[in-house]
Amino acid sequence: MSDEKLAWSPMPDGSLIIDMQGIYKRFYIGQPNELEILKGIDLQVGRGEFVSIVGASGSGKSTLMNIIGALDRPTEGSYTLDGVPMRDVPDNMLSEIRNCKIGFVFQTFNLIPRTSALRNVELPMLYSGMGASARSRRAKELLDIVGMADRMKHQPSELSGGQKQRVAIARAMANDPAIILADEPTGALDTQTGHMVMDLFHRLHREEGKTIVLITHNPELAAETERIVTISDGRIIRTEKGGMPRAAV
Amino acid sequence: MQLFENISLAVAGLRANKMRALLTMLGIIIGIGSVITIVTVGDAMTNSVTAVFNDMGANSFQLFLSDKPDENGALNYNRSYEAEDYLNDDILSLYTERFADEIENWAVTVNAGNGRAQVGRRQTDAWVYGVNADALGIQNITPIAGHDLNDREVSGEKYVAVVSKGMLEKLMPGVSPQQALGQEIKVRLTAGLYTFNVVGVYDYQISGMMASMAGDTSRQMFIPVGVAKQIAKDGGAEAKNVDGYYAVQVKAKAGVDVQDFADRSTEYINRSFYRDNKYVKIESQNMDSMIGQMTATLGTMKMAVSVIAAISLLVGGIGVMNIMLVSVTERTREIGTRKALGAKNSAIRVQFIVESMIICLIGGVIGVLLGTTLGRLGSVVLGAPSWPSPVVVLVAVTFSMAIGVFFGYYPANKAAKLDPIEALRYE
Repeated sequence: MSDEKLAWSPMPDGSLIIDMQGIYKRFYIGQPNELEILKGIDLQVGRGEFVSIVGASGSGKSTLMNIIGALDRPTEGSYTLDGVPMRDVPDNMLSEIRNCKIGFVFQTFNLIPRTSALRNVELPMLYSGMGASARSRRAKELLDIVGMADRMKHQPSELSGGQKQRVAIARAMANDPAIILADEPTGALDTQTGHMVMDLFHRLHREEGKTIVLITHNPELAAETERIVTISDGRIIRTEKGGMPRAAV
Repeated sequence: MQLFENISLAVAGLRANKMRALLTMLGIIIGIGSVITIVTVGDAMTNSVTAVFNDMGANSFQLFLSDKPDENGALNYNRSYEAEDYLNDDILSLYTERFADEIENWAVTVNAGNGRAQVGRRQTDAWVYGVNADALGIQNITPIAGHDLNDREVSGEKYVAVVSKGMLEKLMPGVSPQQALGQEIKVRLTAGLYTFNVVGVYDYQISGMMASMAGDTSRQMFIPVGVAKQIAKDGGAEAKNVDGYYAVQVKAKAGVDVQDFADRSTEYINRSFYRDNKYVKIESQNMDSMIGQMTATLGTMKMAVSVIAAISLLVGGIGVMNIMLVSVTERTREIGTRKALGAKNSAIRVQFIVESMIICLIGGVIGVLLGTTLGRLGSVVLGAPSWPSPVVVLVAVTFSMAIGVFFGYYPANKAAKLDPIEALRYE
């Protein structure tokens, strides 16, 4: 059954951004207790895809996200991110991979407090060593793309939830990453604002050709994406085609 | 490049928590402030003491009466000096003749009493001292008009006086020191009214912290020692206490080893005049050794305060470490976010060390300002205004930054080693 699902794997320009083969993740809470969270995940995501990973809490989707986002390593299996094999990568290299290949968008925005929107967007470029003026120019462009150009001097405490998330999305795109990894990006927003954020993702996907992986427990949001991968108990149980228009509110 | 970001971030963080930042800095402020204060005041004291002693008698020493311990080594505190215990004119003339080759001059002082000097209707305070001939030079009191009391005036017990310019200005305003020579000044003392002819005018102010101890030197008025003795006796003083001298100040000629000469003088006088005296002997003290003693005392004081300051800095540093640990915990999510965005462990470590350094640096600068103010005030009160030396300020600021690095390292390292997943999940 799973073979049939995996066979369906669109790759618009023929290259894989995420290539996971037989990923296991186990946590050892002292012998002999062993907690197996991921039980053999095979997942491929092509360049320019908009994929959602859906699952109930406890299904292992957060752990999967951590591995995709180079925050964690699998116990077993191979994972290649944008051509880079992630096996045995040292910690400092993981930082660099996160810095230039992953753009994180969090449920709780995680903007740095007391730091202007502009500075927040500059942050990944700061860590990649980009010069101050280039950083500032790029950050302004990105804030313009997400429609926050007029708020770039504002601090997070002066922004609404939706505005914060737009700044966070601009930040995620700072180093032009291979994927934008969004973890419940609408979870802390009301429905309408959530839709606005989703529209922004759709636009980035359509117009900028961004590869986006959306992690959510909300099937309605997932249905909007091109492909829906459902996880349960550490396994991929279903892969379906999405792209449904949003139900009218 | 990241340094500037870190600094502005740290400053923003401090501004968001002003009270907390100030309280954290307090230990550093007090520590650095007290170091700067004590160093400034200490230096001022050392300089002024040295200057004053040099002023008062470089190359000179004092011979003075001292109690002989009895056979049990105990001193008899209740005994008062008798006539034969004092140094007297006979002893001094024998002594000064014997060592004439080495003595530049010497001075004894007899207090004739305090009273009011008058010219016409004008009056002012006068402290009248009897001195021997050419004695004022020892204390670097040089006449600006006329002359020091000479041998003829002293041995002839003339009613003449050397007065200060300050006193003249009060008694005879508008009269120049030169014009004042030969004028009469009346002085009312306990026993009556005495009239002196002015033969010399001096202009002398003791500088520095000794000024408050010496009082207003313009009130001093010097007359021949014989006259002073007579006046003191007229006033009811016991003859034995007036005719003898408790101490004599001796100025050695240039090139004479002062310490050695003082030792030989003591030895000579004790052997010749005090061998049979059961209670009293002569001791000497030279100005150099007094300066040495004062400097050593000041050094000990500085040391003690420095230790206290060091403890304060240690406690301050621990306070900084504590608040940095709190800050790391409070900002766990921020650290997680930064790591997710690609910050290496070293970048996080540098960020927190810089923050700790900024706290200590600001504390250090406030401490320097506080210490400079207090040090300045203290040195002005002591009469020797001075500023802390740039070296001390530089060392203090550098040291406070070093405290920041030292006590900031542990919290910074803790932040750097946080697991990004745990940190992002932290509530």
